[in-house]
Amino acid sequence: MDIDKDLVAASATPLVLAILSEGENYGYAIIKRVSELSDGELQWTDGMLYPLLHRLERRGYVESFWGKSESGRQRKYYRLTRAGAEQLDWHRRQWEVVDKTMKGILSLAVGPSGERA
Amino acid sequence: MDKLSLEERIGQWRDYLQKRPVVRTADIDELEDHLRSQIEVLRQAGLDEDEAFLVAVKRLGDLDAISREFTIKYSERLWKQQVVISGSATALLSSYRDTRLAVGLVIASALAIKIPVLFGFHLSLAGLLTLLFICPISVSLCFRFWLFSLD
Repeated sequence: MDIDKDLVAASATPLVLAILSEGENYGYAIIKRVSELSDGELQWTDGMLYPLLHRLERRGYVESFWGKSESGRQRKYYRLTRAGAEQLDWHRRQWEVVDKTMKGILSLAVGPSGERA
Repeated sequence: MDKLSLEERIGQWRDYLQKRPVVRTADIDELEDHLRSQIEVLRQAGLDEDEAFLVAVKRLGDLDAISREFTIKYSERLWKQQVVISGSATALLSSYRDTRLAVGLVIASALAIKIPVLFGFHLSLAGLLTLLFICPISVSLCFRFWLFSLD
C-alpha cells in the first residue's frame, strides 16, 4: 500500500525517537527497524534519514558519537537524550489522540459500495 | 573500458558528494557506512558487487535531494544566524529589556494621546507626528519580542 508522503513525514520523527528509546543505534539499523515494524509498508528513501537525525541532534533530542562497526568501519551512533524522551512522550500523547479519533470515526464510515468497515 | 572495482566506485560516489559544500566529510563518512552496510546485505543475498552497488545507491536515494535536505538543515542554521545578526543592532538590549521598552513605548503613545486631552488641548500636529513615530517602533519591538519568544 502506498502511504501518503505527508503521513510518512509526520510519523518519521516519533518513529526515530521511539526506535532510539529501545537503545542507541545507527542509521542503517534504524531503517531496517522501521521496515520490520511496518512489515515493509513504510518505505523511506534511506538517505533522508540522515538530515532528519542531524536535525534531531541539533534540537537536542538525540546525541551522536562515533564508534566502530563489526568489521571495524567508522560508524556514527545515536542515542536518545532526556529532552528526546520528553519529546517522544509528547508525540505519543498526540498520536494516541489522533489514533483514537480516527479509529472511532473510520469504524463508522461507510465504504464506496455502502458497506461498513 | 576496464570494469571498476567496488572501492573505485565508492570513491567516485564520495567525490560526487564532496563537490557539494553543504555536505560535510563526516556526513559523507556516515552515508558511506550506510552504503557499505547495504552492499554487504545485498552481496549476502547473492548480488554481485556491481549489482549490489547500484541497488544500494538507488536505495540511498537521489543525492541531489539528500544534498538539498542537508542544505535545508544548514540554511535553518543560517536563518538563525541571520536573525541574530539583524538583532545585533539591539544586541545591548536583551529581549527582556526589549519587552520593557516596548511596553514603555506603548504607554508613552497612550499618554501622548491622553495628556493633551486632559489639559484641554486637542491633538496637535506635533503630537500626531510623535504618535506616528512612536507607534511603529513599539509595534516593531513587540513583534521582535514575539519572534524571540518563538525560538
